[in-house]
Amino acid sequence: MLAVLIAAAGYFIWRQQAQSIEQQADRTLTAVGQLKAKQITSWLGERRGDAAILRADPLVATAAADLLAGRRTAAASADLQTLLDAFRRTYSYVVVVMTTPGGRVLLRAPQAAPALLDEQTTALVAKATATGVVQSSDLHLDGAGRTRIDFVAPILSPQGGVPAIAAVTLSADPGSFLFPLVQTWPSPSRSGETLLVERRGGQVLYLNDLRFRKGTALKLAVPANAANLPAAMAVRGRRGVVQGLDYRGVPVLAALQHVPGTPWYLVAKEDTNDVLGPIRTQAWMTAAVALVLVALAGVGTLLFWRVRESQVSAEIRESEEKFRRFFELTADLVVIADIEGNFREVNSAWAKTLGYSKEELLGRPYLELVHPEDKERTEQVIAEKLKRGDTVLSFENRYLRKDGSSVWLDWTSQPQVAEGYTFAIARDITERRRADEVLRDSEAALRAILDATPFPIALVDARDDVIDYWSRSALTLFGHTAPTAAEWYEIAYPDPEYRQAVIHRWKPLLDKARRSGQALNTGEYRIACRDGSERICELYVTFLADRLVVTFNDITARKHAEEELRDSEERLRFLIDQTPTVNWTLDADLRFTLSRGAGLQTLGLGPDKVLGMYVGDFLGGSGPQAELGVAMHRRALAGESFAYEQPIGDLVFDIILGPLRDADDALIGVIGVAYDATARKQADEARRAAERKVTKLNAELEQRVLDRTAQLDAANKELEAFAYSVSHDLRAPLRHISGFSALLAERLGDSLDERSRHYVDTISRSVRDMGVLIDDLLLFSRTGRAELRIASVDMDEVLREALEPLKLETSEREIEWAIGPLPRVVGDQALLRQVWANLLGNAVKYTRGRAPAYIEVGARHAGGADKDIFWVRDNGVGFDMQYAHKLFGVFQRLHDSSEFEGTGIGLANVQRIINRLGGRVWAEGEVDHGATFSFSLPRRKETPS
Amino acid sequence: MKADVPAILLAEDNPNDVELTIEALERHRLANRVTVAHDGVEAMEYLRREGAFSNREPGDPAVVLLDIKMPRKDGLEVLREIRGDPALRRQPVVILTSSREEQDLITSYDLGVNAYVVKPVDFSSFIDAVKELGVFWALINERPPNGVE
Repeated sequence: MLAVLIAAAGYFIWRQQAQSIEQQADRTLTAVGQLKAKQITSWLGERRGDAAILRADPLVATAAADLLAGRRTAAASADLQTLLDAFRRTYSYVVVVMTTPGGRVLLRAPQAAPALLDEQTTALVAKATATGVVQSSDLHLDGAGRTRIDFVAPILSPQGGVPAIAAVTLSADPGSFLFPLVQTWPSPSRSGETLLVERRGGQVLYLNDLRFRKGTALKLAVPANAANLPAAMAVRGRRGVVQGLDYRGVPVLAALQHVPGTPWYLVAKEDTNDVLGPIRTQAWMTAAVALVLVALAGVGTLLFWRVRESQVSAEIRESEEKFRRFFELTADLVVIADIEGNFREVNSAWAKTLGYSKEELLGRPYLELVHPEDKERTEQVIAEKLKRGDTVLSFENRYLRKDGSSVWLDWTSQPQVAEGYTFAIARDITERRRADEVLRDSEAALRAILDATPFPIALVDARDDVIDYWSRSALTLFGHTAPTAAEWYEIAYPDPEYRQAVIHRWKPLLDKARRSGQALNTGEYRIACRDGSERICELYVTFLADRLVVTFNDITARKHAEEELRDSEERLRFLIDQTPTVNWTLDADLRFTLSRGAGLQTLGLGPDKVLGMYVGDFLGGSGPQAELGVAMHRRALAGESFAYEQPIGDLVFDIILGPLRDADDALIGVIGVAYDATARKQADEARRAAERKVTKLNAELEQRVLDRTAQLDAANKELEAFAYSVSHDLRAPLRHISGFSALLAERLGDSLDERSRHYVDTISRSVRDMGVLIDDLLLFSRTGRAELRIASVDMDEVLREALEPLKLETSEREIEWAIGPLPRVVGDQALLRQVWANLLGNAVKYTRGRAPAYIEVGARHAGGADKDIFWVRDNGVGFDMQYAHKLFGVFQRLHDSSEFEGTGIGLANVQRIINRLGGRVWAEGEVDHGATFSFSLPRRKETPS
Repeated sequence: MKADVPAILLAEDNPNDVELTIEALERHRLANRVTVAHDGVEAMEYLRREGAFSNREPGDPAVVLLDIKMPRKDGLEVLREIRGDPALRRQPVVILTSSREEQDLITSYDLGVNAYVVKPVDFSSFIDAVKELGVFWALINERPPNGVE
């Protein structure tokens, strides 16, 4: 009973374990099959993508078109060769060949590749060029028996449209990537393998090399109706996990799968023994244990379980060990993540690729390692696909390495929703991405180059007039751009009339450019800028297939400079033509190249009448005038600038000459200006003659003055001699009369009667009067002749000097003096003393009868303060104003000499002195009511003598 | 002072003036001590004891009264010769003249005259002037020492 129970229990347990293991195997196979199929699809997609890039590349199209049309063949050929080489290297193709649609090879990489296409590829090329669609070949053997798969990119003409003008065939070796991908087995298995098969007629063709039989790729074929062959079952349409006999005749468990988009089928299989081995071992062990249990009847269930458990776990450990070993060997990053998105299992490729150890990764959310820029996309894929149980294929994102750098990964993920796991395999595609970036960068570099050129460039799609690209300089120059040609016309040519004219001119030029295929200068256009200003541009157009390249050459500055030059030339021309000079230029042979100017009329010439004439001939051919002119022009031609006088006929010209130089500073001619100076020269001559005459007259005048002065001096000398005689010789007889009459009176003594005494006295008095008269006359004569000693004179002091002897003389008389302060004057001190002595003496004399006598002396400014006026006023006998004019005459007297003694010379002397000092004397008076004598003196600067 | 040497040499060409001058000096008992030279040449001959005066008593006059305007050699020339002669240069000389000419005054003083007197026209003034000159120079003034060498 116990044995039966034990046996039943044993069987039940075995059954349960076996089912569990079988289910596990099914799942593994299915997952492997699906993963592989997706990876293959992904690989094929990438290769077609490569071809599509070539198909869409306008540069390739243009270059190919040039090459085929025989234009720029060397350049186009070199460009294309570079491109094909780069493409082959970057994407690891065996051969890249450019052909005509008919299959004639144009270019190939490497150069060692066959120069002819095989029949199959030729057909594929024909199909691709005819349809314009990328074509791919079957897996096939090339002429040398190597496995190949080809992708053909049609190269469309730059104008587009089928048939294509050429094709590029990309030939890949599946053995280098595809087959290893297919063959690698993600779990540890002694017999696990994947097969890629295809139906060819009634056969199943094994496409890849087999694990257990070499050299079979594309060679091994078996009937498609083989009943138990999993590969045949697959091509017949079976799906899922099946049991059967493989090509070796070994029983296998296989997962069957179609590779989408291909005629290929994938078989993932493992030997049944390997899968179910643990179950058989288990059955044997269970029976043995049951027998032992029965036999011993004493062995407890607990012990049995313990042994059983340890054995089962040992098996599982062994299985896991194998899995682990494979898991660790693969270069792909394999991961199992839990439903929360944490790493649960990772292989060592992770550590190699990311730098994290396994321990650092496990239990950690994998999103933490996703590059921040890719996180959002990744979360989106998790939410939309993985969470719903959908497989994710070819999802690319970046993971962060431990060192902070990033790695591009291409993911294939298979969620197991029910179990809460996700199986995923990732490939490091950093290198491929980098190559893409290089390509993108080269395009960006081209853009950057275009942007860097100072010439605005626009790329226009000629089919729809959409402007795909404006270089940055366009915005800089114009301030605005437009997305279409029509809109550009609107803003660049705001004046509708001008716009119409531009379009009218523009269209036929475009057609011409398109026909010629050459760059064409379409002329100048005035383009309105955003700020309202205007730029003048030359527009060059070039067609690259359907693309129109428009280059703007801004010539505004040049145009303005040209206009300014024109204006400036007009002004200069006006000046040259209108100035009253003769203006000319000569070439190096001294022949006139220009002769203009209003001054030509003087010579009876019109503008430019003498062009080409030799300057010597112009000046009469020979003679001194011509010789002088030629010599001077030669001097200027040697580089000198100067002025000289040139006689031409009867005229005289002032000429300025200078050299003419070309841009290299070489002397190429002479420039000259001439001014008719004849009239001026004549005027100069007349003036000089007049000056000579004046000089002569002056000299004569001076001589006359000298003569007269000498005569005057002589007269003065005579006068002096006369005065000397008078003073000396005239006085002696007087003295003798006086002396002897006095001696006579003495001798007669008392006998002299009264009358006789009167006679003697009269003689004596007369003699005395005559002596005084002689002295006064001498003094008067001297004041007229004596040299003036002009200096600053203190009038107060001079007055005092004159007053002192008078006061002594009149000490017995009663006289009231009122002397005011007097200003300093400029004059002759000795002469001024005589003036005061005379005036004061008169005042004393003519007040003789007054008691008291009143004499006042004063001064005041007058005549705008440029002269001083002095006066002497008295209360004496005065005079009748009727005779005032006689006061200052010599020997003129208004009073009887018996009443007032005097010679009548004093006031004449005063007037003479004051006149010599530049002043004036006058008198006011009334009989018996006093008199006022005044004189003025000009104020003048003291002159040093 | 030696009594036999005339005190005053009067150089005067006009006999009227000589007469009036001597008349004036007489009134002061000075007339007998006057020697008259009738021009400059005679005056110099007297002073140098030459010509007509070569035999005169040695000795210099107390004063020379010198008219300016004289024939042959005028007074200013005589004065210049006296001042230029080492034997005579200290001889007191008084110009007695009718001239009031400034130039004559200047020249006389420049030549070192001892006094300059203008002859007054009025006789009494003339008498007074000559009398005072005679008294002063012949009696009051101390002569320069003899033997001037």
